Amino acid sequence: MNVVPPALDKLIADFKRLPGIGKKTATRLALHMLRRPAAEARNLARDLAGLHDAIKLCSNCFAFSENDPCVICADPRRDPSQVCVVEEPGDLMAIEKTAIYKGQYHILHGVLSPMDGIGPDEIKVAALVERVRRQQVKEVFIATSSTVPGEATASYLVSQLQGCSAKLTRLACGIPMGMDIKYADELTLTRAIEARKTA
Amino acid sequence: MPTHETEAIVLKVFDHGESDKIITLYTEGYGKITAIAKGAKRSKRRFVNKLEPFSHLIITFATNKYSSMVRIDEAELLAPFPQLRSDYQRFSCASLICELVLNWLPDHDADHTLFTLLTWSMSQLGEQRPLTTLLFFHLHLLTLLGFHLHLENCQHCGGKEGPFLFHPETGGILCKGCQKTSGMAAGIPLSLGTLKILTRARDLPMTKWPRLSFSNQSIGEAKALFQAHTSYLLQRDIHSWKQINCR
Repeated sequence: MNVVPPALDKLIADFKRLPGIGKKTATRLALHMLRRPAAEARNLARDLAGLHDAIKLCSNCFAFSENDPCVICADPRRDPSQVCVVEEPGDLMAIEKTAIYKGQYHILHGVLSPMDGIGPDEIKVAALVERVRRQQVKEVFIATSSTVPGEATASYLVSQLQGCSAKLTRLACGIPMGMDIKYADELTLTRAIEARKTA
Repeated sequence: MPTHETEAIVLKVFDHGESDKIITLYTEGYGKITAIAKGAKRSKRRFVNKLEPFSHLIITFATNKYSSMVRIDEAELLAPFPQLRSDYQRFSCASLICELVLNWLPDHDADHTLFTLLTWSMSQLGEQRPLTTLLFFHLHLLTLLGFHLHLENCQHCGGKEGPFLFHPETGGILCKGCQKTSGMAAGIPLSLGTLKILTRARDLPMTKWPRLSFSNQSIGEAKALFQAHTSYLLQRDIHSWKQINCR
């Protein structure tokens, strides 16, 4: 016999579909929503329902945005001749936090993963090549992760952009801040030594 | 919990929750295993840059009698194969090899010869002709699994006169005459040159591999053969084949 009321059971099942949420966490969240005032649940439902209508992809950089172009592409202080290529919108946010980069972005919305059926046609590679040619971009700064798929994607982008006049740069790779070098693996240490700069 | 140590090749990695990773590996001592690496996403010492696809590692893992998933406690990087990251064709070929092992091999079924073939293929992919390495691996994987390809003569009449067509259902070739009378669907056309090189590659040990030289036509025909044969045997498509460019 199921003692959980069907409406609560349905909400638990809905929460369970979210990434990283199992049945226990889903139950805790559902019970939490039930304990809070009804207005709070209604606000959350309204925000969720309006999400897809309010947010779209910027036609220039493919960032999630309420406007097209997005705030970064529409900002006259951002340099359109410099394009930073990232895997996901979360990576854009991480680079923006540094407040050091003043160019625009291009979001690939994924990395190449042949095993999962994700090839160049499934991510925004063609749009990047077309944009670099159309906008006369001077520098394409590839900031994909230094994981195997991230590096393979970066290599593929370099091969596709090779004929363009833009300078191609890659995010430096080496020892993270606060790390003891004796714990670094040979590959990381090799890259760090290769990319060393004058002190 | 009992702990074990073995060499392994990382086949697939995906994030689990905020900080963990789930990894499928082909190990020398325990066959294909799925493991959780706690805190691997945030690890700065134990796992950084180690639990990446295609990496050759020595892992220490703990088993749990209540779960088939093991827990990785330590990993030592033997070879990261960096060349597989810097070229899309090499990356696609390595992905295909891992996808084949993921789909063909059952869990906890160790095979030393297969592990040797897998580690050898990963190192060769980074240095030699990636498509030839891939075809060599595929051919030898089929043989190790007991799916010996019959490519010497027509499976119906025994004739050695071409042209021949490969039939995934039989794992062998039929001549044009037998093809018509068999009532089977049209097979994959194979030139005599392709049949010759595939037969040679199938019977050649790894040490003699550099002697092989596939023409572009043979690579294209062999790709069609393996793609159709694997789809037939596994009853599913291997995604990575779509990213293999034979030109």
